Order: sequence, then structure tokens, then C-alpha cells
Amino acid sequence: MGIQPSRQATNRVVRVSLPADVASDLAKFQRVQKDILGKLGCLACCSGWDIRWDIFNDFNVDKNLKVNAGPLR
Amino acid sequence: MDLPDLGVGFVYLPGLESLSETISRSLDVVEVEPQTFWTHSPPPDGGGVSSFRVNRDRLERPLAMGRPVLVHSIGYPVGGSRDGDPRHRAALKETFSILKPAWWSEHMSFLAAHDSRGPRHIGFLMPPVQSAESARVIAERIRRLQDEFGLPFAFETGVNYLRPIPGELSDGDFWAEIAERANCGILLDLHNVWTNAVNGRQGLAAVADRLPLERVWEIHVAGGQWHKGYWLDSHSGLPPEPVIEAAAALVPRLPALHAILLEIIPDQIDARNITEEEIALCLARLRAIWATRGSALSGGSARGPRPAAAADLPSMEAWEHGLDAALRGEEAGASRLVAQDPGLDIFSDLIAMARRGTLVEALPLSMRYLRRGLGGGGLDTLFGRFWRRAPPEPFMSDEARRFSGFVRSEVSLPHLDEVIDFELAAHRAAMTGAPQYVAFSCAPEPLLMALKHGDPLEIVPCDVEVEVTPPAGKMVPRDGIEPPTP
Repeated sequence: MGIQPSRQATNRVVRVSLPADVASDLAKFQRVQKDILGKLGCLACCSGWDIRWDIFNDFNVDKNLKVNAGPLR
Repeated sequence: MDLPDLGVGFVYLPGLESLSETISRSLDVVEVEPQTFWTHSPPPDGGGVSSFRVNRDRLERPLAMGRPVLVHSIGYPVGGSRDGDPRHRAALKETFSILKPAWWSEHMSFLAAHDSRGPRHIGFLMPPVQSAESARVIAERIRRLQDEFGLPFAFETGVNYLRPIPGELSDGDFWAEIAERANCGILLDLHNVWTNAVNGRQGLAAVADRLPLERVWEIHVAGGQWHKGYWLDSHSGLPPEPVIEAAAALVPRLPALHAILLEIIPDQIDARNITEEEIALCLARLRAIWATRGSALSGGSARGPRPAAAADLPSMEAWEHGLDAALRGEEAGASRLVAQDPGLDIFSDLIAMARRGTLVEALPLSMRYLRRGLGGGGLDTLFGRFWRRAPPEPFMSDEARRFSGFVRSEVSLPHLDEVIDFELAAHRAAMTGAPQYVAFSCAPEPLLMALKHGDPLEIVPCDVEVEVTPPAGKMVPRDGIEPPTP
């Protein structure tokens, strides 16, 4: 994935193309789809702790761009 | 009611599609939570009435498994003083036409309080006051919905972290009263009722003894976790053993049980390392329990007469208004009844966590930038100000858009607005299927990648217009609906 120059929009402005998926988070897990753009509707039925904040808080990336998860609370 | 016996199944949510297909051999039925697949985009000029978009492709995907599909609605609860957002009804009808469920279900809860300015969304499924008025109003609503949709309906027995109010109907009597008045089914969520019991409300066996068991069409089981001394219905794992044991004890007494569903939140499966084998094993245990349905029926009901609720309970509107006010630390309506209840703090925590979770998921790059720029404490402060200023929005995309507007007015970080613009454009591209355009005054890729990977920011000044292309094959609007222009 990278920037794809497409055409000159004006004399000075360059138009480039980026897929919307760039906004998606790193694929931290494998079995459950991490597809942010498919989850723009209502929250699922659940009356308890929302783990997404914990995942965000515990998210870190090492120097080799390896994603590590912190301990769950 | 002549309904089919569907068997044992699994909840179907965004993020669980592939897993559901992987374990489909273990499933007799899947249950879709439709609003999680819908989207909402307000009109571009801010005027007019917007509708909810039903994504036919995504909703049709579970049908390919060749299993019957149930619909478990989550955004149009039936337990409030007023009807919910009417836009749900048209989208539900379209959903039913696609999935053709044998019945549908919703929660015995409310999502909004009302005052002269209109509905104020609370952001969580809240429990109604268990009064005679509530039973009457809710039952009338259910009857209307059954007539309108022509589809059998079951309400879900909800979680309630509050202490019982003196004079209320017990949980079991309240649900029994509504089911019989409305002539509808009951979705008995065993984890919800067990959670309520663990937290001090009526025990599961006592609830079951008060219910018209011939109306229990469906059972939900799930897992949870502790928080501040309360057991939460967080769907964070497989059901605890007492919930399985309760199912094993109750199912033989149910003459009209048609399905047992396992609920779990997708993020929790990987975060807690729950394997497919463990899920399949749990489903197998549930199937063994399912096989005992109706095998130990007692002759006739021994429930006895239902006691009447006290006449001096608050009205439904006063209860809803008071609960909403108490959650914000204000006094209004019936807020004095719950202001000292520690369960209120639990609801407050859960609402805040759901809002934070929504924002970090919908705006991952912007939120990383904000945490880098403001620090964890600064972000907490920003959240607190936003919670006070704006009530929650039901749709993730709407909550993200509103928070973005707030951040633009409150925070100044280099190129932050452009990062926000990009993420909102990505939402629009996904929802409409059409490319979106945003301007950057720096090279976008180094900035976005640095935020994504946690690297030092790299700012390369230049004027760029970015065409944000839709993700392939996702979130295409339904036929006949014109996508909004950016």
C-alpha cells in the first residue's frame, strides 16, 4: 500500500490516492477480523466492559514494528 | 405459537463473520444483531431526514452458511416510556425481508430520556422502573410491533446493576406480566439474570419460578467479568459454570424452547485467547442441554397470583429522566431513588468505556495522535469535557463525527485536522462506496504511517489532495439509496 499519484489537481496541488483502509489499525489479531470500516454501526448487544479502550491503551509497537499487547484487566 | 425448533447457535456480528463460517458445522442457527451492520449518514447539508442504511451484501452473508437466521435487534429497545427512533422500523422491515427470521427479539430496556428538547441518548441499555405503568405501556408497544411486522416477537430479560426499588414488581413478575399482556415470547438471557442475582437482585431460580415458562422461546448464554465488586455482562468469554448448570436445570422445564444462543464480543475472543475448539466444545455442551428441552415438564403452573406494584412508584418518564440526570450527577425526576446506589457508578463507568471504545476504534490514528500530543491524562480530561457537552450517539460514525468537531475546537496539534478529515473521509468512503477527497498541507503517507506504527512524526510540507478510495467490497449502500455527497 502506498501513495499513488494520479494527476495534477491544480497547478500546485498534487492529487494522490489512498485506500480508506489506511485508517484501519494494525492487524493485532488473526482470527477475528479487525475491520474498523465494517463496524460503523451500533454497538453490539453487551452490557459490560468495553475492551476496545484497554486494547488501545495497551497497544505498543517495538522497534521492529512488532505489535505487542499489554496485560488485560 | 407454532415456531420451528432451531437448535444451538452463535451470535453474528461484524468481526465474527469468518469465525462463524469456520465453526459453522457446530451451528444450527446464527443470530444477527442487525444494527451493527447498518450505517447512518446525515444529509450533507444538515437538513432533511436521514435514514439508516441496510447493507444487503453483508446481511446476506450469514445466509450462505445454510442455517436459519434469527434477528436480535439492539437499537430499538421496547422498555421505554416512548417508542424509539422510528427509522429503525423501516430498516428492521428490510432486514426481516432479507433474513426471514422465524421470530425477532429486542431488549426490555430504554436508551434515551426525553425532555422538551427531545430524546437524549444515554448510550447504554438501561432498566425500566418495574411498575404497573411500565408493564402496560411496554406490552402495548410489543403488541403494536407484532401487528406492524407480522412477525413473532420475544423480549430479552435485561441486566440491571441497580438495587430493586421498594414497591417494584420483582424481575420475574415484571417480565411475566409483560409477556402475558403482550402475548409474546421471552428471550431468557441466563447470563443477564445470573449477573443480576450475583449483584444482589432476584435469584435465577426464583425468576424462573415466576415466569410463564411456556413463553420462553430462546435462551442466551454468555460470559462476564468483575468490576468494582460487580459481575458484568461483558460477553467477555465463555459462560461460567453456574450459567451452564442453570441452563441444564432449566431447559428440561421449557416446553417451547426453540433456540439456545451463545454470545461473545469479537474483540474478546482474541484478547482472551479463546480458541475455536473451546467455542465448539461449549456449543456441544449446549447441544446436549438442548436435547433435554421439555423433558421434565410439570403439570400446570404453580406460580400463584402476581403481587401488584406499589402505586407510588415514579412514572416511566420521571424514572428515565431521573436516571439520566443521576448519571450526570444532577438532580431531576426520580434521581433521588438511585443517586446513592453504587450500581449507578457501574453504569457510568460502562457508558464511558463504551464511548472511549467507540472513539479509539472509529478514529484510531486521530486518537493515537491525541494521546501522543496530550498524554494519557490530557486525553482523559478531553474525554470528560466531551462527555459533559455531548450525549452519546448510537452509531459509531456519528459519535466519531461529533467528537471530531469537538476536538477541532479544543485541541491544536500540527495537521491534526487533516488526520481527522482523512479518517472521517474513510468512513464516508466505506459507507457510500464513493471516493472522498481531503486536503493535506504535508505528505499524508509519512504522517499517517508514523501514527499507525508509533514512529516519530515525519512532516514533509506540500499541498496534496488525497482521494480516499473505498475499501473493496465493503459497505456498499443498498439499492435505490443515493449516497450522500461529501
